[in-house]
Amino acid sequence: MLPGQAGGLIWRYVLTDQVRFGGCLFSHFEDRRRLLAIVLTLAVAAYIGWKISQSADQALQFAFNGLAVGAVYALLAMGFTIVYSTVWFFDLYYGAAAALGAYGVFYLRAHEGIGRYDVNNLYVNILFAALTAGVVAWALHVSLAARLRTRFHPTVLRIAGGLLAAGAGVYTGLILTYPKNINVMLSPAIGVLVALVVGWVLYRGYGHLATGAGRVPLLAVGTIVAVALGAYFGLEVANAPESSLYLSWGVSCLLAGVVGLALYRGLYMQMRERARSPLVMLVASLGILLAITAFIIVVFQSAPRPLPEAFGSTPWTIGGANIKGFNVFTIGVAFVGFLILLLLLKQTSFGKAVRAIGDDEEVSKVVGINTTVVIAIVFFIGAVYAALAGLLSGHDTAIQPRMGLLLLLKGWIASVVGGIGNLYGAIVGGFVLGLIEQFGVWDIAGEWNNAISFILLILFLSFWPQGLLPRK
Amino acid sequence: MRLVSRKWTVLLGLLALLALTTTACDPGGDTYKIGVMESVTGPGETYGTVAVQAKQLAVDEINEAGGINGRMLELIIEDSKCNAQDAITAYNKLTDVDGVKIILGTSCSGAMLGAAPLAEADGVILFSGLATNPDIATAGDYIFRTSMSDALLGVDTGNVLWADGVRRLATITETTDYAEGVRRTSVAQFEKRGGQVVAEERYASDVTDFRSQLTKLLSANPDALHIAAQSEFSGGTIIKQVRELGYTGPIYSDVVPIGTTALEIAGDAATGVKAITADLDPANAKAQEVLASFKARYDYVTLPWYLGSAYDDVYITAECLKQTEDDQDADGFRDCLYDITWSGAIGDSYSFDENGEVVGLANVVVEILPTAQRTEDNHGYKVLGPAPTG
Repeated sequence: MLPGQAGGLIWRYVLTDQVRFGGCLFSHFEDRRRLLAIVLTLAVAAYIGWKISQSADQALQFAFNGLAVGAVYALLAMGFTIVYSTVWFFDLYYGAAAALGAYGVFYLRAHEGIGRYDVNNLYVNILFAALTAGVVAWALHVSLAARLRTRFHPTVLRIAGGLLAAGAGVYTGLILTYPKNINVMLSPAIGVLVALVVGWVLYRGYGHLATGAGRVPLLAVGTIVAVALGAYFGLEVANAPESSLYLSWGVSCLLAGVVGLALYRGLYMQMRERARSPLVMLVASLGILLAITAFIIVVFQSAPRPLPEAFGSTPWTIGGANIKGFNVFTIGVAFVGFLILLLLLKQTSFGKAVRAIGDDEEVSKVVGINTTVVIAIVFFIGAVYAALAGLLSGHDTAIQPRMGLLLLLKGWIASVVGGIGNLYGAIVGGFVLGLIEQFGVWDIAGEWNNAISFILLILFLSFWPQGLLPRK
Repeated sequence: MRLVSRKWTVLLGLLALLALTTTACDPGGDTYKIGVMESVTGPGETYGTVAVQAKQLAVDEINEAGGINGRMLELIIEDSKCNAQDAITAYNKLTDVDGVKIILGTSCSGAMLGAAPLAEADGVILFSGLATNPDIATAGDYIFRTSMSDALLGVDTGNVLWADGVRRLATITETTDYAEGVRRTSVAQFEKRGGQVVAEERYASDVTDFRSQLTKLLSANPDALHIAAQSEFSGGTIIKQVRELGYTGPIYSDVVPIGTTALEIAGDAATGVKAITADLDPANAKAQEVLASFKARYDYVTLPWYLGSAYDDVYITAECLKQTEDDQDADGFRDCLYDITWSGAIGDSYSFDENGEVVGLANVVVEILPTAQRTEDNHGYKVLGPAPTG
């Protein structure tokens, strides 16, 4: 069927339908919508098929470009969709988190980047140190205090928690102040983390063997293995300055997450408790997005900047088209991020709690879910995904203060296209949006690619608000 | 920090000049007084500073060689700060307080266009070595410049493209006045010669991902790509991304993508990129001599072409004063400029047309060197030679 014929068909169908049935349009709306979907899909497929037959190389190149940006959109949509489907409000901080993630890397690596800017700022370091201390204190309070209250005196708990929080704050401040040696600064933390993870895995895997007489030696061996591995990894990192860039990624994502948590605790939680309408919270988060963008402009100036060169910038030629190794990595990150979230949501009790809160928060509270902690974790994950998307996009092209708003909108469009609240929808929507944006400008000027995304959004909102893969 | 130390150099230089002018200002008043307006502070600082230093170098050379028929030349320097308002303030000070009739300057087109109507009305000479906006051509009878109009850049670019055998051109242009102007004039000349633009794309200044547009340009299978960028950031990024898309053909541009920042962003991808820009011809002995004495005196060199242009302006002024023997005779000076043919640092036998525009000069073609060969002295590129004419 030619696109023209299809258009004629739908036109006739719509017209005759209206004429014949007059007022009862609504009952036929479903049918028409389905027909429109089929016709549009056929038209798009026909157009792309025609274009591929014209120039397969260019089609492949567009596909690569589309997948590269689509991966970033997919990451954004994934984080966005779990936050949105849990708390049901449109958190615009999400865009700022993407910009913070990218600028965090710039901040930590500015001395080795292009132009070697000196952006390190005492007040910024103090701000983030204080935020981290506050968030750690609060996290310890809501997650552990209740459990430990029966075993320890409240004053002991308070002092211990306070010390831990202050320690985390000071540590963050130090890392931000001396970003040149971030690998050395982070090596103890990485060592401890590895030791804890190894210890936990050993305990979970072989802990049941540790009974009776063999208990003490077995536990001792396990501890020694864990500590040894921790020390080994810590030393490896300390001796590998080339790991600095990738460690900065981690720090940057965590900091964006910390800001997300601070906002949740400092603002959204109170507003939610007072049952403010989603609209009020939307406006509040718009204020935050604008404030953070202004903050970025003050600290970094408004001109676009490149991030230091990551690995994989030499293009590979595949079938007449080129793709950077880094773009392939980004696509991989999107899929790994997808799998992690999928496991988290479908296989753990945390995932069940998230879905329960999304369905009905009050009832979840009643059945004993610690909604505050679960929502906080969701916010944290969302911010980390956004920051990761922001920094990957920054390495791929460049960073600029207003990147947050654009990435936020793209992430939102991708999740609307895919189906809000559906993780599969998010990854599908991200790649579909990336591809449509690229193929859409084949015959028109490239400046239109943002307009194309928004036309797609309007189409979906008016005809298929459920998206490609509706939430079940 | 080079910028800071340069600021100090400027300050010290200005103090030195102040000392010099006060000592040179003998009560007999038989020096030729010439006004100088340049953006010694503000956004055009680099340009203004170099211009002032080059002019002072030329004046000192002339005075050491015995002045103009025994009379010394004296510069009175004002800061026009790269904008129309401060240029007018500086102009008023020079004409009202110091009573000069001949002003050398100024460095920014905006400042030039601000002061030009006043100079034209008062019959005061305004003679710039640095302002490039095409509108200055029609600013008046007393307005002259040795700096080449942006329109000439387009003509030279079109000629270079044609001479290099480019027949099918793809262009990518930032949507700003300057970049659109470069593209329009370049393409006009290129098409006049018989070339064909096979694909064109435009981008807003905040775009960071050019891949879909570049993919489209490359699919038109052009002989060469022309980049007209306003910011070094986008110029460098486009070069990087187009090479990542596998394009190996020639790239042409103007002064923007050969700046330090752009070259750092593009890295090795920029190797071989050709830029059409105003730069001194390495074959011109006078140019090399001026650069050497500038380097010897100020211990750095930047913006060599503009340095040479400011330097030449002083010698042209001295030549005309030799004829008119009166620094208050703006009309005589104007007629002298219309008649003069000069050979200096920026070119041989150039003159001024009826608009006061310099004729007989051409931009040069430079080629970016591989990263390993880029140094602070060569600015990362080598000059291939003057742009072909006709």
